[in-house]
Amino acid sequence: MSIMSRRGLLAGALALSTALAVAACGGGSSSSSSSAKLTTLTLAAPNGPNNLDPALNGNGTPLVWFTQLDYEPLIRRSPDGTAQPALATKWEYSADRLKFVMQLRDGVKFSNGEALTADAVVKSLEYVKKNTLFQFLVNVKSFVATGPLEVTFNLSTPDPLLPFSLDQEGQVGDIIAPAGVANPKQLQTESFGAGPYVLDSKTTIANSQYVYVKNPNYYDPSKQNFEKVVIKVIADDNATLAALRSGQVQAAQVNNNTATVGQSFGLNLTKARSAMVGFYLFDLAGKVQPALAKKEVRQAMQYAIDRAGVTKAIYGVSAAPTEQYSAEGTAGYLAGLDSRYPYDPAKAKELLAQAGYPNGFSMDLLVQPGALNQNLLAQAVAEQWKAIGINVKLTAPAVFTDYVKEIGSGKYPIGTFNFYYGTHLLIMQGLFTKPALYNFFGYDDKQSNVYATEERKYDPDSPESNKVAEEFQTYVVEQAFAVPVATADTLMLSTKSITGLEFTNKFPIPDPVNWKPAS
Amino acid sequence: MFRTWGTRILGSLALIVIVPSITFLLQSLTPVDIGRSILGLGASQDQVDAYNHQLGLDRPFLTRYWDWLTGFAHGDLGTSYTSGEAVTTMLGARLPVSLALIIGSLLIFTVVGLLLGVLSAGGGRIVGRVVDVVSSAGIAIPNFWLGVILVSLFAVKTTILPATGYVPFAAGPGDWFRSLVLPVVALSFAGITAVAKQTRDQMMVALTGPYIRSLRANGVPERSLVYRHALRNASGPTVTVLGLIFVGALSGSVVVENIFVLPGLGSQAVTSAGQHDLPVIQGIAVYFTTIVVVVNVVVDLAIPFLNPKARAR
Repeated sequence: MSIMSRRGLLAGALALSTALAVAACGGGSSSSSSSAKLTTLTLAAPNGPNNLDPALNGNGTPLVWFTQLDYEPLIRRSPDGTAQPALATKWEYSADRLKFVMQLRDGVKFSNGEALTADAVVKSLEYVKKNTLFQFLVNVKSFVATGPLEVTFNLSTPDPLLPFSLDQEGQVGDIIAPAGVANPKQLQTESFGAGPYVLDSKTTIANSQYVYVKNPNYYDPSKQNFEKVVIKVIADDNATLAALRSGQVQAAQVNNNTATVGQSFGLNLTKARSAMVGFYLFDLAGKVQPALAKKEVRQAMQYAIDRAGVTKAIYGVSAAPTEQYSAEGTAGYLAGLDSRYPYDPAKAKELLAQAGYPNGFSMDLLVQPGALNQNLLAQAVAEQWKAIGINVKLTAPAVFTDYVKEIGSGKYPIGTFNFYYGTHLLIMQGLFTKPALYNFFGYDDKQSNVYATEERKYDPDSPESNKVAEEFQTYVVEQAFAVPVATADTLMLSTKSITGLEFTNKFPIPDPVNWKPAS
Repeated sequence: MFRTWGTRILGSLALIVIVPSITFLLQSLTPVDIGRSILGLGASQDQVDAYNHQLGLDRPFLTRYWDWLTGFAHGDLGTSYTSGEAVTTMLGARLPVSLALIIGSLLIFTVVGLLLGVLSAGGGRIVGRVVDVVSSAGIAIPNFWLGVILVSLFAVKTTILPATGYVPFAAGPGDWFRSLVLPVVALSFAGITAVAKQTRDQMMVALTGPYIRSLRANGVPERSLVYRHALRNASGPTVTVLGLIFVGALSGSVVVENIFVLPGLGSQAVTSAGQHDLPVIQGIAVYFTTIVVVVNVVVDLAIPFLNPKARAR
């Protein structure tokens, strides 16, 4: 049939032309990722920022990346955890620790051309204190410009954490230019910082890609290592890996599985302990589940968990079992505490019986969605609690917004948590003092408040502070006020075209400002 | 005929108002404290209340709906709860990506599907069987799997095409095209096979019709029989199916956008739904409804041209 050959010809021509078009277009940029020094840094983040306004953005990576590039903090913390001058050159507490005085860098301009003055800093801090979602500045009564380049913080009570709150992770020290403070709406879509880069609103697409170009006014051009930095939001792990392997992206925060696969493809892996996962015991007073008010019951819950087994099964090599609230190598950490509650179901049952619960009890557990597979963790641990007679019913909201709603309901005596490590004091006062951010049932433990008040008198990392921190840590672990299970890593995969990704347990926040093109 | 079209277009316009109204109602049924959700656990109740008030969420449902509707009538879709950006700006940046992806795959599955269908109808048993098998595979193979395989073959193993991302047309038509090849193929695969199978079945029926026998007996050339007469007759039902497949492709685009990291409307829909970002979800509902309505109207208008029987009345 002659028609057949014609049709065959047509189909063939179509296939050929498609192939040619693909091939012709393919020639161009396939080799672009090699040889020449990198001028655009592209990193992948699993999600976009909560908000581009530093006061309304969240903490931890990747969220802080979105404000780290365009806002210069008063203090920049280096990867080894030491505080370095940034917009502030010097800072110190008064003898009674009720004043904190900062000297500002001279001659700094914001990306919009406005000058950095003490007045501008005061305005920015006041705005942030009013709007921030964190309680970093709660102890500050007032900010006063005590000189053209000097700002004094008046405190209501000693607070040694200010130098931490004011760094690039705390974000409250990300100083906003006066024009931005005057126009908060614009802060959500434009940059008003003095950082090395400035957001290019034109090429930025919310929740997809965030483009930062060099800030021409930056005070230290030697630290502008790239012409342009792009953060791409890639939710799919396979897509992240493909983008890394093909060189479209040079660095990405990944999960355990992707990290292992990525390493086998020759990508660099950088990691540091950055978070702990485990369980809140909200109901320490026993309002919803009276059993939780008993120390023996809480200790039994600790003995019942095979931490090593659970950690290995869920997090592989990217986490280790833990029973305390500080990362190894940081203040307050005591190696001995990690073996306070070895896996011992028999002992756990015994303690339950002692407390008057020989047949166990039941309660509802709320699972936090998102990071670090808390759903799997809850399922695994629930099985082990069941073995000693404690039945927990899991509720796992699919998205964070629903979780927030549930947690406010007061129905759940227990829930999973995922905490970024901060200073010891920050975590302990957030969890165990009253009032506290994560003490949702408002449990009032006098001894915790005594320890926290004492610890606030000293600089973190001073011998005096360490002593209190260790006592506080020991006390809380002994009381079993919560159930830490594992200490997990932040994992960054990167290509060979960049260097300087180091971060440590002391400051596990990878800071793109430090990264450099490989020479 | 014009009256039919008139009612059709009026009905379509009504849909563009009705569908987003339904999504507005559905979303208001889920009791979520938006302020608390967005500001998180760390915010004080005062901050949350102030935020809710600022967004106007403390007003009654009907007031909020009326505000949205009047804004919509003026082309203003409000601002995002989370990013503070105007919804039209936010989605405006994403619309070209979705259109390129959706129209691209509509074209591909129509042209390639029709071609394969016609070929297999006239191509004897073997070609027919092959199309049958491939069609079943096309329906069975999920686009997210195909997407991952395509990326590993064409973007990682051989770096012919980019693994992820979208290049705007203005930044270079060549790169724009390259960035769309894999996603469009992944998205249109199921459509190609569905169209091919539909065309083939319709062609088989048409080619055995008595009028074809008469035409053939009158010496009309085979080519004209297939392409002018049978295909035209067969195309009516096929084109109707296109509208349906297209709606399927629209939801498939959500997955494909995620795999290829395309900043389209679908991925924004997923993000915004998780954030309960109502104005953005409303905007996306408006855009998607409009796209579906336009395509279906075009399909409806096309049928009478293809099939004279559908013309009168």
